[in-house]
Amino acid sequence: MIVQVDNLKKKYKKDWILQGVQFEIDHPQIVALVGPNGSGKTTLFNCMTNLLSFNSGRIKLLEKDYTDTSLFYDIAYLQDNRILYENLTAYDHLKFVSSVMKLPNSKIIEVAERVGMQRYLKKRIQKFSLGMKQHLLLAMAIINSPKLLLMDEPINGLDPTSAINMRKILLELHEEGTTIIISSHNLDEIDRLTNTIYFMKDGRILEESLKDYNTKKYFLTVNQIDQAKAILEENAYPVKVNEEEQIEFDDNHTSLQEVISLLNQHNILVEDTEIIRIGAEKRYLELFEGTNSE
Amino acid sequence: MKDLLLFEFKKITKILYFMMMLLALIAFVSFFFIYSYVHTARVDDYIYNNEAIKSSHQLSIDELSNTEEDRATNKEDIKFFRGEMEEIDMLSESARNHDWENIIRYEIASSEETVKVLPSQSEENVYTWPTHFTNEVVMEKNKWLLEHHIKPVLPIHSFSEITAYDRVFNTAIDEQIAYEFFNKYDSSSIYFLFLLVENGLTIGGAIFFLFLFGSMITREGLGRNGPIHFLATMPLKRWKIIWSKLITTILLTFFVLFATILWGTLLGIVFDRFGDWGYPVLIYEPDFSFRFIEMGNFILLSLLLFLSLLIFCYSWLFLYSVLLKQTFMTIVLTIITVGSGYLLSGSDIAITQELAPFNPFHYFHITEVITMEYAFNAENYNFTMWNGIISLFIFSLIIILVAFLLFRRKAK
Repeated sequence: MIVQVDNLKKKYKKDWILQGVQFEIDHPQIVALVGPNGSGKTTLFNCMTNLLSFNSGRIKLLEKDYTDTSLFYDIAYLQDNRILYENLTAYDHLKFVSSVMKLPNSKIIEVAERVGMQRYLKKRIQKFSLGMKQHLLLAMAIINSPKLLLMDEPINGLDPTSAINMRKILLELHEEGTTIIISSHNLDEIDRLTNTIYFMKDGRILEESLKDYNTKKYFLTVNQIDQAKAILEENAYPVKVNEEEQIEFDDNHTSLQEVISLLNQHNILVEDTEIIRIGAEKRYLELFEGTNSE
Repeated sequence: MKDLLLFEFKKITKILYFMMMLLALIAFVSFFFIYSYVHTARVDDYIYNNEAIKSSHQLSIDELSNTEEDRATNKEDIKFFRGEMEEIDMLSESARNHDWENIIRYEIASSEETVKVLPSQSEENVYTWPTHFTNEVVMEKNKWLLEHHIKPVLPIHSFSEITAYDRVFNTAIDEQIAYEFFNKYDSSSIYFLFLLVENGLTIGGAIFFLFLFGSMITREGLGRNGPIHFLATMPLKRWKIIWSKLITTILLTFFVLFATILWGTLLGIVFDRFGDWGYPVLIYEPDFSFRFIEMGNFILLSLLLFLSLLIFCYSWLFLYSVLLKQTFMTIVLTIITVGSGYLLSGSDIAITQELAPFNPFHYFHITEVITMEYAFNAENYNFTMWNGIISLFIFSLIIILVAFLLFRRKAK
């Protein structure tokens, strides 16, 4: 098991920030953590990395207790850029990380090239832009090729080129076997990275977000809409007719091929097929409609 | 731990403010050296003063011998002045030849006469400058100089010393003259360092170090989001992170003190001489007695007590940095605590309490504690350097422990 979070509860002053967070990751994958501000994403990361304690629950990472500091040889946490030392250079930061991790100096250059920050390696952080800081945080996080990478808002402040580069790196890391848990408000970017999205609200991971759901929705325009609906319902296909008089269903439990051949068997003509990818954004809106972001 | 220490060193030395403060320290030491150099009494000054006294004696002789009749009447006085002038000539000649031992012998002889005449300090409650105790101190000090073949820091006559027993001055002019003679300067390394220790290892010096290293402990954001989270998500034990900060602060403090001493020593050697490690420093003892310790040792002991005191101050800084969010406020609150403790410990009640020697705030009076003048004034000889170091160490440990527990609690 890579991650085991069991009924995690965290209270701050009078408010419950986490109200029984529960999830498991048993194979290397990219998991996105999505939710409005204040939903508990950063608190969850901080609890997982022992930066914050919690009131009840259990966390195991890579089959070890989360308090074991040796875990950080295999786990990296890309957090807020306030953790950087303004007076030091990017090189100083990477040098420290590499010496603690007992890595050769060549790793510093290697990771700087990979992230694309060779030009400002010797520059002080106080002269860094937000994007440059994100680059450094990423470099620090991946220098040791971690088995588990926790990333809190890593795309913030990145220009499109850098964002593309970061995506490329994350996908490469995933290929190499790294499990990545990423929180972000950039839902388009999340869509490009993963289909596994845990939606968080009020300190909980929403049950429905844990279910597998297909990322495609189909809209069929047919010549006999009522008959088509009746046949499909008769055959236990969960479909509905929308306002545009289209048969609407998603590919969760229904195959497009099956539906079309069934309708054809009953001489119903499928005039048009529209396939829409259900993005994280759509899913987010479905789950959080009416939720005010703080 | 080594990686952490090196990283902490790098962090602090790359802060512009830290370097500016170090430059300010070097400038202070350099200017103070120039001041000491200018005010050092040298052979020429000694001869010049002697010549001035001689001229004054000559004037007196001239006045006393205006006529033959006056000369006959004032024969004895004129003889006295002539004798004095001959002695002055002898002293000037000795100074010119750097024959300090001759001058010291002369001063010892004149002190011995005075000491014989004055009633003992233990017998009579006389506290008018220069007391019997002070005369005795001057005499013994000069004997020490003679015995150890040490070049004296001028002047060395019986009016050149003020001790804790000298509580009354006959006139304001007497007091002014006494302090003029008493405030001696010398640009040799050892004596200059002694002056530096006397003037620098005070509460002011401690506050300087609080400003110098304050940000190192506080700016990390202990107990809140900040760079401490960077260190906390490395494969490093939490206690190592905290201790590395304290150890680095202490090591750097040690280094800054050492560098200051080295700079002072170099200035002395380059512009004057190294000086005498064994120069006597007065230590008060009970029952009107006293002893001397070597000036070099006095400097080392003062530094040791000051270092203990700084650790005590840093522990407050550490505690407040866990409780407060702003670096500046943390430093200010630490200074207020230390300052209040210092002022309150100066009250009569605070000093006379039986357990007072274990109140760490008393030990901001570094040199008075080492010379036992503080103990003498408090009439409590438990105010010793070692008691100071022990109480400072224990209190520092308690405060650090409380801060560490709060730090852990705050992270929850």
